[in-house]
Amino acid sequence: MEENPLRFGLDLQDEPDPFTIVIFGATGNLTRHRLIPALWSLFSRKFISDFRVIGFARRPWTDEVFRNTAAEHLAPAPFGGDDRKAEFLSRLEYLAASFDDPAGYDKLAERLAGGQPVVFYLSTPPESYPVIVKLLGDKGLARGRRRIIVEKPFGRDLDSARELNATLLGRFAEPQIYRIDHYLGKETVQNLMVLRFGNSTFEPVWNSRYVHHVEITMAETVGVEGRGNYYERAGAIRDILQNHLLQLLSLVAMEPPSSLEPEAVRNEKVKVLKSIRAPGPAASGVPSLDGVPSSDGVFLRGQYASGTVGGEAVPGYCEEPGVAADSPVETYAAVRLFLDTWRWSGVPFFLRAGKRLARRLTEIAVHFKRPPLDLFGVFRSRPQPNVLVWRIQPDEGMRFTFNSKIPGFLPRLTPVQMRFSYGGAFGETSPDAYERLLLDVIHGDPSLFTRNDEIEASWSYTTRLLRAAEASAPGTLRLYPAGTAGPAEAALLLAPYGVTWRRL
Amino acid sequence: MSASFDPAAIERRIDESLAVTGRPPEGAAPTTAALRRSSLLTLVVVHPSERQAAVAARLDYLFGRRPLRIIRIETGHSSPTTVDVSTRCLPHPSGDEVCFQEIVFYNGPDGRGLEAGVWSPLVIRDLPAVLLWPGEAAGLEGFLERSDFEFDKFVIDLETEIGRSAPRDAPRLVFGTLARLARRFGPKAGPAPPVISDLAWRALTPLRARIARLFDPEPARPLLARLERVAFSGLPALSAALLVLWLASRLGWSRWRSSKEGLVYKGPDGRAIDVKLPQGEARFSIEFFAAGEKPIGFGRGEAWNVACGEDCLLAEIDHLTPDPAFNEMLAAAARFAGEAAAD
Repeated sequence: MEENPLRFGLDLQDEPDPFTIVIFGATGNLTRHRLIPALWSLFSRKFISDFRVIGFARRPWTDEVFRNTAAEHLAPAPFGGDDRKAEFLSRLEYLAASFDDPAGYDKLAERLAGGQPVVFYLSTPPESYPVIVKLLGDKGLARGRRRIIVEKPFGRDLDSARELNATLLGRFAEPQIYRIDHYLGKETVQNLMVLRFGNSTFEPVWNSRYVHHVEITMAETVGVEGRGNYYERAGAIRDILQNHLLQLLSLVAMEPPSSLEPEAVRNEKVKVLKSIRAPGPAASGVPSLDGVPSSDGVFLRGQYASGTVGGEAVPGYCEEPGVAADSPVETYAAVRLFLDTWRWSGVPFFLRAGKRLARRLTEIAVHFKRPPLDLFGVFRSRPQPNVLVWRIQPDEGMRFTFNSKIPGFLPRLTPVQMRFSYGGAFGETSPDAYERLLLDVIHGDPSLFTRNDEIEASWSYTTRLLRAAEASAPGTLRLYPAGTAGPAEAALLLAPYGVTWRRL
Repeated sequence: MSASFDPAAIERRIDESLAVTGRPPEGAAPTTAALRRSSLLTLVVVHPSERQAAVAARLDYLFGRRPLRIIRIETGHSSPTTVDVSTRCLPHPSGDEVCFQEIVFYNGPDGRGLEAGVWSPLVIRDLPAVLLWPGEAAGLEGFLERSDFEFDKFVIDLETEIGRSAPRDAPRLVFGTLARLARRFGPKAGPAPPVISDLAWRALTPLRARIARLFDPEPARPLLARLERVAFSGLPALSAALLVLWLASRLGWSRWRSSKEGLVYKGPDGRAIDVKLPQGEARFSIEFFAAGEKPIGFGRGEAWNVACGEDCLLAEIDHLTPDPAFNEMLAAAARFAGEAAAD
């Protein structure tokens, strides 16, 4: 019998086998604010039941301290289930050891004896990844039903990403490795696939014949929030563009996969990343784009100065703790890029990300071309381009702007909106991205994780930007007051196309 | 309450109600009545008045989770038919509101509430329409013949009809009811038969998954073709009957007859398969016996009341496509009925 006939028509995800999750860096913020609450939510909603969590970190904590710290971050269980908190916390253990101490891994091996599936979560500074991976391999902990989750940043450039890939692949096989970009766990991001490939309306116009340009924005109102030391080594290009924005780009621009099998989807995403045209020679020449062909990929870097956000005065980036007074690190990046594919030939993609901007907002806006013939121009009423906006946060949903006639005797047009809101259509809140992604790892589904060639393809592009930035003339890092839409010069990227950024 | 069934007047009453319903969360912009009108689908519920509390509990679970227009027709009232309109909204963290628009017909002896011309103009066009029928299947057939309305999905609840029957009677009643439904909803009902599902069947999904899991390992798979006995204990009779019909439809069993313990089927190779039905045991277990093999199964120390939880209806309105396994069962039930007639 080839297939189990009793599986027919069953779309219920089975409860996973008993498993252990080992969190390296268990005393950090990510563990407290994301991982433990996500595991608690999965447990309280009965998606997982039989598991252990082993926190592995340097601090000399005990099981009790680890549990008490975790308890402070458990939200009330949805639909009841708070009485299970004690049971959940009893599943938490702590192992105090340095990441580079082989003896700590011997103790870990003792606790993991028994052959149950194990998930290793690297919630540590990236500098610690190599030694953890090496010692897990040396101690035989990478063999069998073992999976490893690696948090971003996955490298600092193409070379370091390749090095890290080589380190991981020296101890783990690719199917065991889950490179996490929590953005892919968001419901609205997953819904992009549904929007594009679950509807027949959009795909026929999803190409250079109908699309004028695409904007992808990830704007934050927060600053570096005490992570100045980290951000000084990252910057907006590494922190946001290389991963979140390029992942969104690949989902917007990919060809339809042949199936929803993880490899089929990831193959198509990689093709997009590999098709990004290399930035032109004057890539970072903004604000002097004179003479730069409009078909060249270009980018702009900015840094926030002091200003006002949400009615409060905030310091500039260089005044933040842990940041050099003359820091050249960008807190804002905007790029114009092109994909050398049949579908997207000549369509500019504008991506921007920044901190301390006017509004917290992540969205994808697909701007369509105007109708080829301006029938209504004679009435001084030119149709506005249709825009399909996919809002990822906040107010998750979709808006479509189209033209309608203003009541009256003349055919005057005005743009109006159709609006779909996740909150209004489905009252339930979506699962947190970490819940979704952790459950996928536990079930062994890598669909929403980044493959090694995806990582290298995205770094291949962003490393070129970073090199161009390093080689650029002083003064190309543009200051912008906190609480604004970013450097005014960013408009120059779109100017050759007669368009502007969407208002933040 | 009103005795006027003018659809336009009812729509106006909904608008008036939505204009004052709901309170935006702190800091959120007030939601307009137009946005509060957002719905995913129209849910038509027809039920006797004595089931009002049970139906209300099911609908209450959906409140805040899905925006719906609900047309509820409550039968069995002694005074002339009236209609009532109400709305309720729950604020969502996003600032939106998730609203119910509820239109209730209290159907009296005049039968106006059941007339399609009264309720069907209130179904939202261009959105799916689902009929929830938590009553006897025979009544559903009558209702459909009278209304001639094209629903996108029918949700029945065999628990209402068969839940309290004697264990020995349950299989016959289930097979008979499903065979009747197969005539209207089964594959022979036309090229695109309407979607039908059963809440009692939905409630069995986790149990079916556990049973299926027993046979996921490759070595266990061949046992399915060599089964000689299946024993159900500590389970409601309706659940066991549905599980038996599911196994029969999936494994190609045919020609059943009653036995002392329950039922006897004929396997595809002619082998007899004994099915032991629950006899009110205190412990729950399901066991599969194949020739020359140790039995496999699972159980627990108490009886298992497989009831359709509050979330059952939500799962049904979220799945508007056919359940292929349920459709197979309808076909199997119709086939068994045909075989019984031939015998």
